[in-house]
Amino acid sequence: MNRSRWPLRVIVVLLTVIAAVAAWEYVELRRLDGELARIEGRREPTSIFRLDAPSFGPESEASRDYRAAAALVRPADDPNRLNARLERAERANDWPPDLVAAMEERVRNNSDALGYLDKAAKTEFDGFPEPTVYVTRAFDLFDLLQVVRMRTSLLVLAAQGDDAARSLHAALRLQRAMTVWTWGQANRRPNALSQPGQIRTGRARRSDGIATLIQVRQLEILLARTRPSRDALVVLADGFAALDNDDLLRDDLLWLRASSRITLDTPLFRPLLLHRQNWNLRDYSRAIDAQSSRKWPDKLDALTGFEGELGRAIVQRANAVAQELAMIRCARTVVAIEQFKREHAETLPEDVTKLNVQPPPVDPFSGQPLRFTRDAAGYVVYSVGIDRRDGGPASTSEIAVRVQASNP
Amino acid sequence: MSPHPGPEPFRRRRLELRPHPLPQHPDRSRLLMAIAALIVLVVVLATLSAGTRASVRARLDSSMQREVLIRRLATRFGGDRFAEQTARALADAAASNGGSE
Repeated sequence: MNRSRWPLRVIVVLLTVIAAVAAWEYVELRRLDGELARIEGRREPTSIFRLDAPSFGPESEASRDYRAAAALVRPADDPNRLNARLERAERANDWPPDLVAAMEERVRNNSDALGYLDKAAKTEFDGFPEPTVYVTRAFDLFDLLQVVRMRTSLLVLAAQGDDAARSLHAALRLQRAMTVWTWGQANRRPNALSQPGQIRTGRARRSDGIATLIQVRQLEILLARTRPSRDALVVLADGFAALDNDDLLRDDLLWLRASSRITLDTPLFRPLLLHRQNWNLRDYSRAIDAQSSRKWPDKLDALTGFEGELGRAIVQRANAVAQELAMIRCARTVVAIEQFKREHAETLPEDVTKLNVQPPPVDPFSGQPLRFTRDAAGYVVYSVGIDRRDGGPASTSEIAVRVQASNP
Repeated sequence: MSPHPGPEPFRRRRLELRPHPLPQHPDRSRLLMAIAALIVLVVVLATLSAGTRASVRARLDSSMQREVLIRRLATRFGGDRFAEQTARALADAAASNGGSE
């Protein structure tokens, strides 16, 4: 008797387990659907497929020129080695003749591409059209960024301050073009295609701290070795202002959340995977929600309770974004100080609050104006940094832009 | 100890001999019913999950609409994505420069 019952009991146990897993999966799917519906309701991007939305209407002139420049740029034989040497030279401000010759050759070989780049920098850029894939796979634009960086350095070495400032401006505009992204929504509406205007709903800029660091170091070298005119400084101020975005952290988190991969089709451990994905999505959403209507550094403080692997990654990312923002703002302040100097017989301002820069750059780590000190070596504009204590510009935790007194 | 020693064995025997209505079947039938109920539950949950999964997929991707968009734009730019786009970018940029480049 028992022998005839046990297979049924085994089947019942197995089916119970399957039903429990199915119920768990259903609950997790409902949660995921609810969270995605909430994101959609807030007109935010839900997935990577909604990023870089296609642009309808005529393509902007800047976008065409960037694409032309990217198509024309010739890759270097060994770009990484050249890049590393350039970085060393910039850091030490020491330019070996063979490196300069290699840079000159690379710039000369790419004069057509640089021509289009300069043209693009002067016009308004509002995103690349689909099917341009440069924004996410921008190898050719990265090459172009390296070439323009070399050109700026060469112009600085040739003491052509104004041209170097315009070259740096072109690089800043290119960086912006590479980090601006758009997202589409309302694609599910049946009439979306007949009303293209409904498709694009947002544009933002994501963070790229390394690119910004390179641009800021170039500014330091430029101001240490040349003396750009007032007009050239206006152009430079415009370039750095284009990168400044008080909502950079929120925009970056929106990008990260939409880019985080959500898998529905894993054959094994599906509910567990969904549970984990839901958890991650909720963490991102909490972090994004915490950004709204907060000022710096409250935007950072709102993330203090974040725990777990992703929570810690979000906090780390937030600090990196704040560092990038601090660097951009230090650079903007330095350019404004140089403008002040041109207008006031090369005297430095007493403090940075009186400078003509709108909106006044606020240190994302303190919520206060950036720090400004001067000494015999020149002057420094710096942020208090992650530890939020003013250890002076020499402190390693501070983000600083230094201008040498040898500024001619 | 039965109070009726006489007829008792017969009664018992009768009872024992009488065909049992469902000797082990009550348990078996309960098990079968449970299995049937669980199968129905799993099917219902799977159906509900499939519907929710389709909704999630649409919120994440809306791939069909996107394909329509890409096709429409690809038509605008011409066949091959990269080569055509590059050629057009150059042509457009040259045209906007008045053919000076």
